Order: sequence, then C-alpha cells, then structure tokens
Amino acid sequence: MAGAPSAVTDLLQALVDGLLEGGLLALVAVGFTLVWGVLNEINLAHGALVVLAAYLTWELSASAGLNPLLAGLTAIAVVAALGYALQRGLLNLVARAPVLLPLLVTFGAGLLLRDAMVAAFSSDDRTLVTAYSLSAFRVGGVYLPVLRLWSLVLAVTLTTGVALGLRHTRHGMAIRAVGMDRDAARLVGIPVRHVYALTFAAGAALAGAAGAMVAAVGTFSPVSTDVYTLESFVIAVVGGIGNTSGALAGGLALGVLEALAGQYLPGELVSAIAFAVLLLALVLRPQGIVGRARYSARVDR
Amino acid sequence: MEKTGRRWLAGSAATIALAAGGAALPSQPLGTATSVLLFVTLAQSWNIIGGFAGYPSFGQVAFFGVGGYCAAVLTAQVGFSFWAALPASAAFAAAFAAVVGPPLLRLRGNAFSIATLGMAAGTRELVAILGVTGGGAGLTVPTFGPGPHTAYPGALAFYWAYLALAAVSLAVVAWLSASRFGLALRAIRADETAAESAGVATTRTKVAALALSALLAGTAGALFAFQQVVVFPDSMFDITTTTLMVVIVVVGGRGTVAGPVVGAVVFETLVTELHLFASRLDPLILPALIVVGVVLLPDGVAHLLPVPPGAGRGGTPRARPRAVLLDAVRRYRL
Amino acid sequence: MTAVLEVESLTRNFGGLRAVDEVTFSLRRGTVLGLIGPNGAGKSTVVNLVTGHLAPTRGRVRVGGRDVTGAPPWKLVRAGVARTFQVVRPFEDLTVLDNVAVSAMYAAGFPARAARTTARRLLEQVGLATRAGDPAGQLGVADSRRLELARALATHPRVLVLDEILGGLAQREIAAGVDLLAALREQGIAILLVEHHMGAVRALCDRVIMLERGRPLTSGPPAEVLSDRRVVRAYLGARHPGTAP
Repeated sequence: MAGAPSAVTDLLQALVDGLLEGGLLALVAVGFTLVWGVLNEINLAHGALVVLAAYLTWELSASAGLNPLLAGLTAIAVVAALGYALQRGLLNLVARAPVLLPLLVTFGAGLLLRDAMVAAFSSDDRTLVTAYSLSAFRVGGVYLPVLRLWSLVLAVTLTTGVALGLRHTRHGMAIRAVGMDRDAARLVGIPVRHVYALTFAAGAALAGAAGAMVAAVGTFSPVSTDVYTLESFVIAVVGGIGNTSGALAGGLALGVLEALAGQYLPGELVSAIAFAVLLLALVLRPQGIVGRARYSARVDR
Repeated sequence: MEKTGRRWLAGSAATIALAAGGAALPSQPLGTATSVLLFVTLAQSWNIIGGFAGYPSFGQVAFFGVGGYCAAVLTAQVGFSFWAALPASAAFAAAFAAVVGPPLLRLRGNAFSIATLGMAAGTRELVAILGVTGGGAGLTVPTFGPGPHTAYPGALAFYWAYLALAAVSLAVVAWLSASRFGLALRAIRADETAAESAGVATTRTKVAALALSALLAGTAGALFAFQQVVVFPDSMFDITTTTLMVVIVVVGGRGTVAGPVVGAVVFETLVTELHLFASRLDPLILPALIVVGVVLLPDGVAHLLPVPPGAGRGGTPRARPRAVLLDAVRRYRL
Repeated sequence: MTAVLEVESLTRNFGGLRAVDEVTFSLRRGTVLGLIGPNGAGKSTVVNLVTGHLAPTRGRVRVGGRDVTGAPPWKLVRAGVARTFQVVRPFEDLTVLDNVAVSAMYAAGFPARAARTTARRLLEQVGLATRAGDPAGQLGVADSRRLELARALATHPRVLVLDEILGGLAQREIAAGVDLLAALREQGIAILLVEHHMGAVRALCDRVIMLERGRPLTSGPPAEVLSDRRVVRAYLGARHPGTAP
C-alpha cells in the first residue's frame, strides 16, 4: 500500500488503535481516581495491582488450565481482597497523617509487590494466547481486534457502573459521604474504617479487571507497573480527581494522543507524552482539565 | 530553644563521631559508613524542604543528579579540576532549583510530590539525550592521563569528604532550626495563608528553602560523581535515592535536627548490611522497611526522646517513649 | 488628617456572582468602622480584598495614600494592614510565643530576640502570657482569638481588620474584648470591625456600614444605622417588623 489512501488509512488506524488502547487505560485509571477522590490517597501500588492481576490470570489459565474468563474473575477477587487488607491493615493506620505518609506506604507496597513479582515470575514479557486472541474485523482498511473491542466495552460498562453504583447504592452513598467528610460520616453511623477499606478494594477490583484484560490483549511484565501508575495519575488529573466519567474521557484522550505520537513522533519522545501532559495539567490546572474534581478540597493538602 | 538546639547538636555530633569510628574499619564497613554519611547530607537536604517547609519533594534526586552531572561536565568537557568544579556544581544545582521551584511550589501535598517526581524524571530524560552529558552512554570524570585531570583520592578520602559535608549539613540545619528563616518555614508548613498574613513572603521563602536543599544535594551529587568516576543518567537520577531521603527523614523525625542523622545511620546500616545476606528476596528488604517504618514511626524516632524537638523554649516535657510511640500511631489512625 | 485606609468602588465577582459591589469607605487613625450585614452579605470578601487575600475585579485600595490594589497579603501587612481570621488559623505546632514572634519578625521587621520580647509583651497585653510555651494547637476558642489578635498586633499595624474576633465568645469574654479594642483605638490604631455582636458594634464604632448582597445598604453613626428599619429587616427578615436588636 502506498500513496494518499494509505496515509488516511494509517491515520484512521492510529485513531482506532488509540481509542481501543484508551479504553484499556481508562479501565486502569478508574479505580485509581476513585481511591484518590474518596480517600485522598494516591495509590502508587495501583500499577502493581494491575500487573498482579494480569499474572494471576495468566498463571491460572495458561498454567493451571482454567477457563480464561474464570481465571480473570478469580484474579479480580484476589486483588480486591488484597486491596481490602492493605487499606484496613496498613493505610488506615496513617489515614489522618500528612498525605506524605500514606503516599510512602503505597509506594513501599507497590515496590514490594513489583519486586516480589520479579522474584516469582522473572521480568520477561508475557502474553496470553487463547483461541480468540487473534480474531479481528476489517472495516475498510482499518483493522479492529475483537478482544480490544471487548476491553473498550468493558471499560465503558465498568466506568458507568461505578458512577451509577456510587450514586444509587447504599455502599456507594456511604463511600461518597466518607469522601466528602469522614468525621460527619462517622457521626451518622457509617463504619468509616470498613468503608475506607471497601473503597480501596473497589479500586483494586477495577485494577484487577484492567489487569485481566491486559493479560488477554497485551504483553506485560513487572516493569509495566510504573507505567500503569503514571498513566493512571495523568488520567486522574486530566479527567478530574475522583471523577470516574472524567477518567473514561481522559483515558481515551491519552490513548489517542499516544497512538498519534507513536505514528508521527520519534520513539524516544512517545514515552515523554504522559509526563508532558501531567506537568502541564498540574501547573496550569491542578483541579483537572476535562472534568471538575469531585471533591475539590482534595486538590490541596 | 538555644539550649535544646545545643543539646541536639551535641547528640548529633556524638552520633557522627560514632560513624567516624569507621575510619579505622576495613573496607566493607568503611563503605557502609561512607554511604551513611552521604545519606546524612541527602536526608538533611530533604529535611529542609520536606521537613521544615512541609513540601514533600519526591524529586530531590534531581538536584543530586544535576550537581553530579555538572561536576562531570565541567571536569570532562571544560577542563576544570574537580575541586574547582565542586562549588560551581553546588551553585548550579541551587540555581536549577530556583528556576524549577516557583511553578512547582504553587502546588501542595500530593500534587507537589508527584510533580516533583515528574520533574526529576524529566531531568533524567533530558540528561540522557543531551550531547554534552554523554547521553545514555555516560560520562567519565578524568582521574588520570595527559590532559587536565584530578587524581582519584581513594576510599578513605571520600569517607572524610562525606564526613565534612555531613557536618556542614548538620550545622546548616541546626542553624535553620533556631533561625528566623526556619521559623518562617515552620509557619508555612503549619498554615501558609496565616504565614502570609504574618508578613512572610511565602513564595520567595519556599524557593529559598528549595535552593538551599538543592545546594546540599548538589554538593553531595558532585562528590558522588567523582567517587563513581563514570556517571550515568540511571545512577545519578535513581528514584531509590529520593525514596531513601524521604524515608530516612520520616522515620528519623521530620523537621528535627537529629532525626535525619539517626534515621540515616539506622536505615543505611540496615539496608547495606542486610544486603550482605544476598538472596533472591534481597530487593524486598527496602520496601518492607519503608512500609513498616512509616506505619510504626509516623512522627519519627526523634519524637520518642524526652523533650520533643521543635517545641521551642518552655515546651512541656513528654511522657515515656512507649506512650509517645502509641500516641503518634493513635493520632493518625482512622 | 488623612485617612490611613481608603477603599474606592471595591468590586469582586465570583463567576456570575457579584460578591462585593461598589464598596467605598475610608478609615482614619484611631477610629473604628463597623461592617455589618447578614451571613453571605460579602463582609468576609471585603476583608479578603482589603488584606490582599483576594484581588478586586474593580476598584482601588490605598494605605497611607499609597495604592496597594492587588498586592499580596505579605506586602499589605508590611504596609500596615493586619488581619485576624474568622476561623482561627494558629500555627498549631509552634509555641504560642513563636506564633506571635513570626509576625514581629516578618511583618514588623524585628530581629529574632527583639521579636520574642515584643511577642511576650503582646501576650501579656491580650492575657495569654501564661500559655507562651504551649503549642498553639492546644488553645481553646477564646484563647485562640486572643492569639489571633496578638499576632495581628505584632505586625505593628496602622489598620487592624478584625473578622468576627468576638464570635463564639461568652458575654464576659466579649466585655473584656471590647475593652481591649477600645484601648487599641486609643493608641491610634484604625480598626475595621466585622462583627455580629451589636452591643460591641455600638460600644466601639464611630461609623457603621451595613452590607446586603455585596452592596452598602446604609451607613452612618451606629445608633442611626442599627435602628434603621431596613437593617432590622435584613437581619431578622420581613416577618418581624419593629423588633429592634
């Protein structure tokens, strides 16, 4: 293929790839932004939870021969339980301290998980190959991998689901109340320690879903942890802290931006895109570019 | 405060003297002692901005790296002797902080931490692509040969150099703790709006604090570059260096004079000595220490001592250490 | 005699809301100007505008004849305009003495030792001398307000802007506060008093401005303004005509 039509196809392909990748990124980020918004915790272990779920999915399906869907669900449950324990057992102990302390604890926990994964699984890239890994549509000249489409659908569904759940369920309302004023929430009888852990577990479960999807559609290794955390952070800031639909928009935007950069910029600049967006966002509009922060007080200390 | 300040100074000097005993040691403990002294300086550097001013920088390694690279570039590319490059590098690191400081210091809390983390990563990327720094291939400080060079002084000399720098850092922070400037920083940490209403030019003061902390970190970076001879972006801008600075000060006691010294001795000794029992689980030691240390000692060991640091004159003496320990944990628990 | 603080057509918008609308007043040495009005009338916004915590959308602020519009708080306080905060903001982990000393050093320009001497004297004046060595976070409401005042006085002010300094105090404490402020007025300090306690306003103020929805509704001597029907209505609502405060 050569000439004008191919340039247009390339652009379209880049846009589609970006959107599909963006769906995955949104899924990675939505749990992160939820935890930040409600608990005012930047979970630097978030990327590690994503990759852990990917490894669990991989081990359970590729090695233990479990159905991949079941493997993914098991991984989500395990990571969510780990998240609950992490918040209840460690992070709740420093929840009233200056934000530096919880930040350090999540950093340490993330490092611990990452290095444990390196020790257990080595740092080679892994990919999960299943019967439907490679099936794809072709629309015009543009190639649409089926699994990636599913990951976008899952991202939209879960993000919407979280937003609806926060608004309409009992637990969702408890979580929002705690996010607005934990002392007032405690006064009206909400078990704050449990709700904190539950929120973190929900964030971890979303990280788990993203991880299971990563195992299905892409390659991963312990090194990916930092990238996922960074991208989550960028998306949360861009989409508005604690704003789950903002995370979806931010994820899609970042995915497209990175895909376009991959198409048209030299390689070493692509990895700097997320950082550039982040620094710009933080300096120009700490309260978020696309959305408004859900809990505006959270932007400060 | 003068009285307590002096007591702190004496205690810290004693701790350093203990470390100084390392001069008589064979090479492995000497290496550990040298590394402890390096981290006394780096921790005090972080303490100024993160402890006193309450701006938790996660990008402090940038100033270390900039200082180190400045020394390497000046010696390797410009032909400076190392000893001429040392003060120039310190000044350059401080100037760098004065430039990146104003936009960063508009942010607070988590946002500040992450933006500084990004600043350090960005600086590393920049150094890795520039020509004058040798890029990813690294740069060699000339220590021999026909051209201009500075002879490598050997391990013991570095031990003494780091000891001198640690003593200077300690003196700077002891001065800071008792000075007008230090009081302004603590006022900013407590309530920035109220500090501004009390006449403190907050932006200028914060940038000055960052520059002062960068001066110390930059000097340490220059010494480190010389000690390593060959510098790489990944060795000079290692995120672990920042992490250690932060954790040492937190576990030692934020905004205290002696806390970071105690923290550096305990932490660096633990980390380096535990590494001797090398195993596959080796990399897990540091993160585990971070998590346990922060959760158990949220206010640092310095607060376990009978007179709480920073309480100023007339501060009420505190109860038994165990009670204080539980008190700190209870205070921050949800 | 010229005014130490002049405010001219001061206006501030928040998005579509005009929080302060064309407020003009001037304040002379040794006089007290009261600023009253129901909650949300824009009193605190005026305080923030006059002390540099907010920049005005329109209008001018002059201190001693010098234009300081839009200057940051630390410049204004060095120019002689000190404030207290409605919700107290002590430097919690600093001692009470050091809380005051910061102001004496940075706003009044005293070196460290002289600043602490001044701080001690001011703590005595406001009745906090016995708490000098305690962390400021341990003070109760009334003592925190005293600390706010001592901190403002340590800046060596020409103008004191007091944002509900008597709020939440018991009757006896209010009486003591009024005496203290009267003494400061005698020293020649000009005071902008934002206050809900009408007894204190009546006792201290030379003039009073009543704000409603950001606008000056009426102004004049306290006796006149406080008995104005519109003021009564604004405070108590239309359903209670004739109930004098």
